Amino acid sequence: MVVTPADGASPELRDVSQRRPHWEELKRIWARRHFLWYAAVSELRAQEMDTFLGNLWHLFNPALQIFVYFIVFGQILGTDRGVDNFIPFLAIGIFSFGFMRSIAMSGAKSLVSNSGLIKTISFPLTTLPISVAVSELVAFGFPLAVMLGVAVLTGEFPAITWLAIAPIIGLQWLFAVGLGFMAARITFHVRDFQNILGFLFRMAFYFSGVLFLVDRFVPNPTARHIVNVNPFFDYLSLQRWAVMGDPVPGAVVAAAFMWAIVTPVLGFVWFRRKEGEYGRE
Amino acid sequence: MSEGDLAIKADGVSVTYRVYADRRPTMKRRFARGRAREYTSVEAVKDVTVHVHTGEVVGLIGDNGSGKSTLLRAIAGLQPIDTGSIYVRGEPTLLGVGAVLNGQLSGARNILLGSMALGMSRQEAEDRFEQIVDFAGVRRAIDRPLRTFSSGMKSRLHFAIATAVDPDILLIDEVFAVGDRDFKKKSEQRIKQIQRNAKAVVIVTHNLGQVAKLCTRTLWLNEGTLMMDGEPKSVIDAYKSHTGPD
Repeated sequence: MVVTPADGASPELRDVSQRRPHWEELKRIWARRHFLWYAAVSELRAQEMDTFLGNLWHLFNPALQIFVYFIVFGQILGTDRGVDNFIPFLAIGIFSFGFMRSIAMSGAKSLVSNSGLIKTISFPLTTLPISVAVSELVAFGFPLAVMLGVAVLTGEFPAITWLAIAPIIGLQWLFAVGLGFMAARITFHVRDFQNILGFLFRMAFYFSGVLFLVDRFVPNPTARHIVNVNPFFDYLSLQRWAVMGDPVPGAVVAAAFMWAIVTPVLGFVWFRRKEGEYGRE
Repeated sequence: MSEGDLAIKADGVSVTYRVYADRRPTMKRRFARGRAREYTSVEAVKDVTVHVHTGEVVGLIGDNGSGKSTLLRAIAGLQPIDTGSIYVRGEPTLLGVGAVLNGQLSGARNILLGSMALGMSRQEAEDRFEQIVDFAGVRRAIDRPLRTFSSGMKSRLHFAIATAVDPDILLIDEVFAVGDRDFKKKSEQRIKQIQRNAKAVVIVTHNLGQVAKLCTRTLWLNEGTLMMDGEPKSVIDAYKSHTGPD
């Protein structure tokens, strides 16, 4: 029985210490697309196996989160100034941000927590940050359902712009995968980075207009320009435009596309530059 | 037997480990001399040159800590080398004890995951599923989480997955030490079959009887240095006389 491996095993002698060219690595990832999907679904299963309510937590968690943030920020601190419909505004902010954070954070851990696998079988290591990101994407289905459910319940009606929701999630995903690649490499060399990353995201959470309308709270025009190129803010604004019809400046749209292209390309290349090291004892 | 193409071409390979002192670095020590922690260098593999052709089954013997596993991992491309070069033809597959799949998931899911990680499509993985289960002899445990499998069962499963499709280069690290007799027999047959299909196999083992029976050639490593490379019987004899009588 002769079966050609999916990679199309090269008949040439190949230097094992030499990195494969980028296009070949992309081909190897594509050959493992079934693996990526199955690993992502399996990962979700493994996570939920031990709890009584299982996958229902994917629904409860986001619902409870909205509740907490709504009480603390909307009711007590009053950051809802200037927002017509605060609950969906908040829900989109929290979940879209959380989506990108989870991808980057689990990407950061992906090399370190799979060191056993890396030392046992040889496979394209770039699939690790991608695989966790696919997993997060599947898991995002639950908060997304809550997000849209909340929007409808609070009086937002499905409009033609809702068609843009999925492509925007795609852009967010690409951007976050890029972050995941970079975070994985840094965390591999400096484990402490995981803790720092958590802090950086906490900071970004407050600077990206998750909880309040940036127009209201940032009056300085220079500061506004800076906020406009903040990728997290860009994706949140786009998603709010798609779901709630809030206007979005052209600069924000352009920046959202730019980040979704530049970040994954840079991340991929930068991650691979130290590829040979990741299996070291 | 006619010699096939070169499958593994390792020239002048050295691997040096940095072994860090196992004591808790204090904050003062950590910052006092930059980030350089104290370590001793251990040369695990010293200037080893090995050429393996397709159709060969090479046994790698030597005492514990002689660099056998390190060399194997270097060939698999999992261990960076410090000097020399290693070229391989095709995709090397390394089989080791305690191979890590996902312990939380069932044996069945792990079979599919492992197969797809090696590059099979979902359909191919499902087509080979039964064959893998039978070969590994784990049918009764197949729906249990992998962490509840015995180490022998895990090794059998891993061997079955990794050899479901003929690997171009199969590197085996002490897998048979944990398998039972029946599995040993089956896996030896499988290795012979892989050899006949013009693939290369390298086996690290302490079972000299198995080396004599299975291998077409044997290498003896001692403290990282290649002592001998040749026909199994003479290499085993030399190794035995070096380590002294039983």
